[in-house]
Amino acid sequence: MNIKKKLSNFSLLILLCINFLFAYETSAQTNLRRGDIRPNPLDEIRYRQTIQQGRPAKPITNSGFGKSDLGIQRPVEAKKTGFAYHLGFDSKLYFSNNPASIDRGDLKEPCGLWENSFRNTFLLGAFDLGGATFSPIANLSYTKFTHFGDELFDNFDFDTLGLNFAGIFQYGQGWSVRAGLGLTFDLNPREGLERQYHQVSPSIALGKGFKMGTVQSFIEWSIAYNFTDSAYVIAGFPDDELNRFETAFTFGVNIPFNKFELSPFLRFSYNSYSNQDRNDFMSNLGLDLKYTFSNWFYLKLFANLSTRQSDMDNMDFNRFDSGLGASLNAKF
Amino acid sequence: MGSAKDGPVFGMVSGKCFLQPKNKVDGNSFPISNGFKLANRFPFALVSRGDSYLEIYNFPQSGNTLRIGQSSAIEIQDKSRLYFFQGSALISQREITKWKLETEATLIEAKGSGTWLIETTEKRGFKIILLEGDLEITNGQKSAFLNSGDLLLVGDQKDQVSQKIQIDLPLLIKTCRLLNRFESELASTSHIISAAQVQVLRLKKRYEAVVGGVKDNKLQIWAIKETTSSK
Repeated sequence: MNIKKKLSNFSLLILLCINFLFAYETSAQTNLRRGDIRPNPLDEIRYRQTIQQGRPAKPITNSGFGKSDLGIQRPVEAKKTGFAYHLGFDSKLYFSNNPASIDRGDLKEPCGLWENSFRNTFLLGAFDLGGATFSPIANLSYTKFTHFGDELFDNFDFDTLGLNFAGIFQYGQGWSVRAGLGLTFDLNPREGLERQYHQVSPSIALGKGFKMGTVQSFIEWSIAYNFTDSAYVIAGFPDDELNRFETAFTFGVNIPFNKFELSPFLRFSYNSYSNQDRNDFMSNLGLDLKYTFSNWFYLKLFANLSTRQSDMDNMDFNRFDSGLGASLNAKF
Repeated sequence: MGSAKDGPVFGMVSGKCFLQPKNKVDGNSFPISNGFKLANRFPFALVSRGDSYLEIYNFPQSGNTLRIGQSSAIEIQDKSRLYFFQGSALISQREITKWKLETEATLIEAKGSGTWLIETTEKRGFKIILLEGDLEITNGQKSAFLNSGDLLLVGDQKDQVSQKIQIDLPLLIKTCRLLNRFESELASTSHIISAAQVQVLRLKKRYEAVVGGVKDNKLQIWAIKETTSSK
């Protein structure tokens, strides 16, 4: 009787294992990547700052210009409304020690990634509100993520289509308020660009910039809600399983020297999932070293460390990405 | 800064500055110090020596500020009429005001609100830069509407009102002593900063040149090079 019971339990275990392996294999065929881990959360902030700061002026050192109490008067040409179009192309080649962003398992293996982004940004004017400025920005981007170096990740390739609107109010003393709406679509290039995940994210952020000589730093606190729809979810789970409230604190510094710029960034975020009993704490530490060749071209070395601690089992991970990138930018 | 009911009062006085009454009954010129209340009858002159600056709050109305640069001599003929012997000034006003501004050779009207800089030129004309707000300048024959960042020259001849040129506001704000030599902040500081931010966002091009001075009522433009030289 005992042997029969043990055999029965063993069979059940075998069946569960087979079922797990089958489910694992099935989802690996489609895509195991989960949409709630957004790649490069700091890049968007960095790019928006670049647009808002404009092109830095070369310092004028000759003190002979400063004899008048009125100050140095340098002629410039400005647009009437400030409408501008920024076109950008970024390519990044990097190593990731945990591209699947998982806690444990066979897929916790390193591989290489090649990331290519094409960005269109429209600055829809700049308006003086008398003590504050308002600048609406629309951004349309397309990014391809290609994994290489390990066939385990052949099904991890994905494309992301992003559409973002932001209205930015800037006040004196470096304060700013940003209201935004982001739409993100993750597409599967191996399935005819079938949509595998999308999220709609209204957000609001409060920021402050600081300047010490040529060194600039900023802090930003943001809150957002992500309405999601995952195409590949485990049976029994809703499509909007990843709906979540997110609040994040970001701190960054830009240290220019000669043609280099060193930019350490730190981001902490707390995510509370609406359709799961789950809360995550994520942190991102990033370091960029940029070398600018001209207004339209720069190269950079970068490293990002991401971690997640979740109160749900098997959701923790640590991930380290490091590599080099090139960026081409044009402003019209 | 004084409240709405306060009359004109000297804020910061740096270096050697004097008030010279133009009515004999008010006596001779005397040095001005911080906090001195301006109760003199018009007209009177304000004089600053080299490396000396002065500031008057609530002039001509409450909430306004008049700052006078170094080596300046300006006669305050009435509450909205200034006669410049030489020098420079900053005027910050939130309400629309109509000024009459005069030199030995030039008489203009400036109407508007905002913060602006004015300086006499070699030929006793004016150089005017609007930092923020709106300003209309007229010399009786010609007029020009200035927007934030615009520089305008008005000459001694009736038809001598130059074309406006835009000036790099962040650089000007950083280097303008009429803004930075004073301890107190102007009430319009946030407006000046937002005007500069908007200009940065609208910026198309910075010229590799700076305004070097004014000669024969024409701007002298100096090229920016590693070692600067005139164009």
